[in-house]
Amino acid sequence: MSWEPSILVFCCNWCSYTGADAAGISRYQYPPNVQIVRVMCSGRVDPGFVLRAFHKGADGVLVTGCHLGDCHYQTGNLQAEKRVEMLKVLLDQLGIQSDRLGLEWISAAEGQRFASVITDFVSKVRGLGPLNGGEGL
Amino acid sequence: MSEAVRPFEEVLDEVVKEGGESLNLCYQCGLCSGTCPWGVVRDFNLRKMLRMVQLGLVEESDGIWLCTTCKACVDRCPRGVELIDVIRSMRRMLVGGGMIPQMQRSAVSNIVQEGNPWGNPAEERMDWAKGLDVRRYEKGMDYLLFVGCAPSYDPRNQKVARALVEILSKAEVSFGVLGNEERCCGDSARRIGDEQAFGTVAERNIAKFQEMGVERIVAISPHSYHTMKNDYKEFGGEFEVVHHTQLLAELVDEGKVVPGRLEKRVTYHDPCYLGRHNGIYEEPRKVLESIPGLELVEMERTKDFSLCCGGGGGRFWTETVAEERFSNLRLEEAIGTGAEVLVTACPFCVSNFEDSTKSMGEEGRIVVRDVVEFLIL
Repeated sequence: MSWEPSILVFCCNWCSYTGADAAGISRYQYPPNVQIVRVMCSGRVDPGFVLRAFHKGADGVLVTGCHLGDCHYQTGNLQAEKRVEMLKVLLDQLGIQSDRLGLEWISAAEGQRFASVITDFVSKVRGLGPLNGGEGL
Repeated sequence: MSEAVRPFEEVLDEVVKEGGESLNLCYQCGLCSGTCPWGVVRDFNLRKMLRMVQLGLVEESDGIWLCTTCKACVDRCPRGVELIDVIRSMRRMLVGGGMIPQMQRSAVSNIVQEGNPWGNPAEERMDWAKGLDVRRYEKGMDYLLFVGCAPSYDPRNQKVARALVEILSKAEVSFGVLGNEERCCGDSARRIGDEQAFGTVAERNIAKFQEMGVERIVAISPHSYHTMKNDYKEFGGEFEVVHHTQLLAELVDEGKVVPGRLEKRVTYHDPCYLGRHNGIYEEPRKVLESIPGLELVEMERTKDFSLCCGGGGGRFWTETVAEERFSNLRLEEAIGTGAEVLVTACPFCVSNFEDSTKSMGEEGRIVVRDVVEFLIL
């Protein structure tokens, strides 16, 4: 069996998770490589969660939230943005390609966008290859 | 099994009418549950309680009486729901129906009948000032010093009142007190939800102040300060109210109070009713920083993130089991900063922290002081 990327997606309760619902209801197709974890807000995504995902063998992690200015907790997604920026630097230092971590804003109405974001991210990670292998280990 | 419930519109209307209009803005994000300090010490779901009220399901439960009105949730709520007002209107409904817990009931009835929540005799109200030259308020004086119940009767807080009087006399501020005629400001009655009792107390106090020609009031307790400044307006009482830390900061600024040298490492705890409710964060710190040699360190939760001591909202008159006292958590936090003194500016905070130092056996490690007590050293 050929290698398939396994990807963890953090969705916020208010926008992107509902966006994923919208994608399902509208029957937009996206690759089955993703596993979604719902959090109340993208600001809840602790940097440790992302590192743990890689530690447990995820090939990519995608953090999604409300568009900037639309956060239901006002500043949660701004915090998520800062953390992802910081994590990207950290991942590079750890020898994990920072492209394996993504950050996207998806509103509750953007079912189609959810599907296309997932499709793009999966194909990007597929291009990077498996974790470790892709890092030249 | 869960069952479908039909909203009780009548109850919801009643809550809204009593001042809980903002309830309907809630979209159940749960930030209040995450913010509420009760979540740290016990199982308490504020979001769920709000949802139940939206469905008109107001039931008598411990939860309604837990709120210390610390305002942390209101400050962070993304929808601007005035949770304190919602909880207060629920309390009002219960109080109206006679469902008020025993301890709160006796505090409120003492406030109305005796003029203080303990039910101590009014003749003993001036005992704190024994040996001090405190004058009765007369028209033309700059300030009425509203001592409040805890600084009048509670032995620990009497020291705060004495210290303040000493400082004000030394700075030659013209002030007077109401003496034995002073009565409770009614803060606890209002937070507990007994609006009738509060109305009686407020009207009586306002009439007294107006009769005496009071214009400016300095309050020792942030609770009195908040009540007289913001709540008395509804009853036609417009006074210029300042908190004692504000007055002290002013006196320090003008050079009328010159603090002595004190080599100490201290941390300041923001009382809810001074900080979050009235935005006074800088004045107490200014007073502390004016003391030469004093090193002020901040706790992790500071200013608008300050952790309530657990004394607001009528909770001071109830019993909280040792494991659920916020003051214990806060004391640990203060000790963690390496401070020798925990400074605050509220009688409830002083009492609660004082109790915690004793019950936790930390008396040797940290002492509790009011801001004003530093200035007489």
